Amino acid sequence: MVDTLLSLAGAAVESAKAAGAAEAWASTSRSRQVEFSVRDGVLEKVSEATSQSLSLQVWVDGRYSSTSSTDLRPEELARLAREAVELTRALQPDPHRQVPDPALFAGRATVDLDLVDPTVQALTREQREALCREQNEALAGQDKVISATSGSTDGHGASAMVSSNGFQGSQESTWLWIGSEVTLQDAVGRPEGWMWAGGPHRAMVPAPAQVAAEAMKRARDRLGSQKGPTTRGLMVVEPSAAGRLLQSLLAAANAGAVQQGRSFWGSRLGKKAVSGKLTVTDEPLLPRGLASRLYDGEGIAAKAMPLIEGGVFKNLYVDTYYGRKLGMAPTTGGPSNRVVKPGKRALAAIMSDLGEGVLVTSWLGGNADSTTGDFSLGMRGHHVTKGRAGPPIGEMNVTGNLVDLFSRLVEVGNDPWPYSALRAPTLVFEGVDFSGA
Amino acid sequence: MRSTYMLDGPHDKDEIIASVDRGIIAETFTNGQVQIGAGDFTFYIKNGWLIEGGKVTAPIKDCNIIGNGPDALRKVTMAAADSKLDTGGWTCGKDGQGVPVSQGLPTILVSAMTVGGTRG
Repeated sequence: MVDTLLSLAGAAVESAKAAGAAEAWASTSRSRQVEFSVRDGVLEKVSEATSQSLSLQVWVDGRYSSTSSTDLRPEELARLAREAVELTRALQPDPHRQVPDPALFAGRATVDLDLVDPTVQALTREQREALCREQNEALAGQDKVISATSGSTDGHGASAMVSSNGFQGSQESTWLWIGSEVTLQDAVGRPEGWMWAGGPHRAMVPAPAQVAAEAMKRARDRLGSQKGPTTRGLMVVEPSAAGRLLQSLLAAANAGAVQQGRSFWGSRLGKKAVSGKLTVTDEPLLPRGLASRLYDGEGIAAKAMPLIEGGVFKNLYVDTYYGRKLGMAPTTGGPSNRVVKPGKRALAAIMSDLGEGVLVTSWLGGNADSTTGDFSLGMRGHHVTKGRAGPPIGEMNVTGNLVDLFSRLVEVGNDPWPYSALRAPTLVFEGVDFSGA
Repeated sequence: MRSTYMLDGPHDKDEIIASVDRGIIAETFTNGQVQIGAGDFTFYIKNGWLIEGGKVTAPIKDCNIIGNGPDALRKVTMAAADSKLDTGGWTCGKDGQGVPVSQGLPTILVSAMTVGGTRG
């Protein structure tokens, strides 16, 4: 698969140059995904899809464009290249748009990212259905269950990039995820719980019964949920929910937003902005990582990059375009895996001597403003008293400013959530405003 | 769901505002989320207005409101005679299938709602 993708990309670059492009860059990809789902004991969905595409960037007379196609027949790609070059001549020149400097490609790591699992590629229909049924048997028909759906999704894909100025690279990966969602009948309302887990390797997928049990636990934890109080105090955010907060904090850490004056990172770069307990690193070279890569979309050789170090805003995601506009050296245009430097304890130990507070288990809606850092999120969770989680509470908002919130970060757990590229651990904040009853 | 809207009520907008001792006018939402099973919803107010003593006193922004659908509908205590269909095209769907829908509302007063804010 990879060889074909490389040769298609190479041919597209050649066609573009033959049509008059000064430089050209082609990216190709192909992937197959299979999904199975069982609802209340009945096989409900079986789907398989294969997709492929090629995108072509051309630089012509100081002008730049990007086009793409899913029709990869040679004559169609040749036509795409000719038309792209012709149409590009009609655009405005942009001196900041240049083909990435080949010096950025140098030093590509040679580590094996270990992203391909032949046992995932070899999954049979029977095995996929069994992964669903083993989850669903633990859920459907249980006490208070209205409906339970269990699924599996797996795939295999590859991509390649070739440029006219010497870049060539390819990547291949497999993935398998299983998960369930269950809806319960409460006195009033129908709380839901869900859990999905997976990764590039089959060995990273927990046992189906375990995944189902977690989905059920999350649903049962919401039975009898009451409106929580308006209060101010400690907020403990469990790992699967902590990612949302970190994601919002890091979303503004890109050169494009800074250049446009739309990022609260702009004035704080290089300065201590949040709690010294927070260190977050972008780590592209982790074997079996969910977002691992040896190079980014511009061919820049991937390497670890501190984003926040001891509370200091260290680096932005800087692509070559906005790097040029800001006069900053490019780092990488977008995130890969994000790792938080761990603390000393996991959620259970943290809660045991917490005293009074609110444990957040999930968010509902809400938003954050990346220019100011203001945010307001709906939350569900539990009141914590003397270190124990009480009955479920919800219909509450947490509101504030992200920089202020993360300045109040008092503890980081050592229990990162593995089923996300942003591996967030338990986070504990003090002095948080909750709006409720 | 096709075209779902609330009919005109017997009040008018100024009357509704004047009746509120402490509340907000939700003017622009940017996003929201509904948990269909539980009935909980949230919407993010990008900008709106604070009402104090029956008068609009200050602009507000970036606050999330959260509530329960059936409960909120029961708490609609006033409705004005200005019902309007939203001009945007909306989609309702499930499982990758969608149909175009539209909805509308007059100015309404919900007697109680949890609003995210900060102290002071």
